Amino acid sequence: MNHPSHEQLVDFLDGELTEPLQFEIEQHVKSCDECGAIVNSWRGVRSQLAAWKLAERAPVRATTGRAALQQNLLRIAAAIALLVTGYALARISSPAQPDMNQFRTELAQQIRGELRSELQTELATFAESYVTEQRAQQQAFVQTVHELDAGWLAALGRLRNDIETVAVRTQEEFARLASSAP
Amino acid sequence: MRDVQVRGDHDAFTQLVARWERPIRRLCIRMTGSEHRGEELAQEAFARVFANRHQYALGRKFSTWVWRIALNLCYEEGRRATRRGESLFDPGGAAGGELAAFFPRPEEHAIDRERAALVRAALNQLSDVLRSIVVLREYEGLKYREIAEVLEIPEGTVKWRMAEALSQLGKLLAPLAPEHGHDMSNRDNVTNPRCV
Repeated sequence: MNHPSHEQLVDFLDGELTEPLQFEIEQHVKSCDECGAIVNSWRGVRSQLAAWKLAERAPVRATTGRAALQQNLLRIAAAIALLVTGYALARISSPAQPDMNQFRTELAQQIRGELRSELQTELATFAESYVTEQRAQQQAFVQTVHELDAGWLAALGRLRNDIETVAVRTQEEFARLASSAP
Repeated sequence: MRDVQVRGDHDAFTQLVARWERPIRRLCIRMTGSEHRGEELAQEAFARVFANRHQYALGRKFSTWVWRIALNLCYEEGRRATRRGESLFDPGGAAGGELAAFFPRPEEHAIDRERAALVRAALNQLSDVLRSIVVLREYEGLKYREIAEVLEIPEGTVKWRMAEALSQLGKLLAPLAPEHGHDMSNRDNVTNPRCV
């Protein structure tokens, strides 16, 4: 047989040809140095491509809007609980005698600061995404109204032209009839 | 997708993301050659899916649509990088390395890294379209007919370009070939490496 096309060789490589054609090309590839070299090279490439593996990552649960805010608030609560535990453990394990009043004050200040900062960030993010979404919807609505307006204006313009044409033609016809009357 | 499109259902969208997050992430990383950028693009792709949900024609294959969105983002990113005179492929990345940096080492893991870097750099040498065909076929296991739908070109053209891509890669990956002392014959998935 003649040299198979490259498309046929690609199909041959995948075993996607009909059985007789697969067999025919296989015989050709065995006996033809040129086609044999191409197929071997391609097989090698496919094998080499397997060398680039990517580390799989646990699927990320995509959350948006209110659900994301709730999830983030839970994370903040967990972080604060961890902070309190860590701080308490550090104080307990400290060789110095703890001053409980000072400890309470410091802890309260720290928690307030952390909470304020995290909440501000989360609320700002939520507000920003909400505003962006609302703005996009408003823009889409305004765009649709504009398109409808433009369509109506164009249709009215065409109607006006038609009416003017009819009026002019009618006037001309009346004039012609008047001039031809005895 | 219908719930996402009609009602903007966030839970339904979350399910879509869970189903497609990994393949799209892999595609974007392999198209850009950068894990960091690829992940950003994958997130952007899903944001675009949600933003453009009204443009999706129900009844058509969602997979085709989402692959195309992700690929278009990768193409845009490539063009932006070219305009800035940058290369998307990060030679210093975890799987980084340029063709010239291929020096076999005794440690097997180091050799694997070098092989991965060479493959990554070789793919970077291909045009966007050839690279996308190789990635969709060899790494994501799409059929040629499906790739043709994604790229909106005839199936025969996809096969012709695949042949071209394999030939170019054959030259670029020659340092890895067995005759150069790197026997890859024991690697899995030889006929159709659906590696991830």
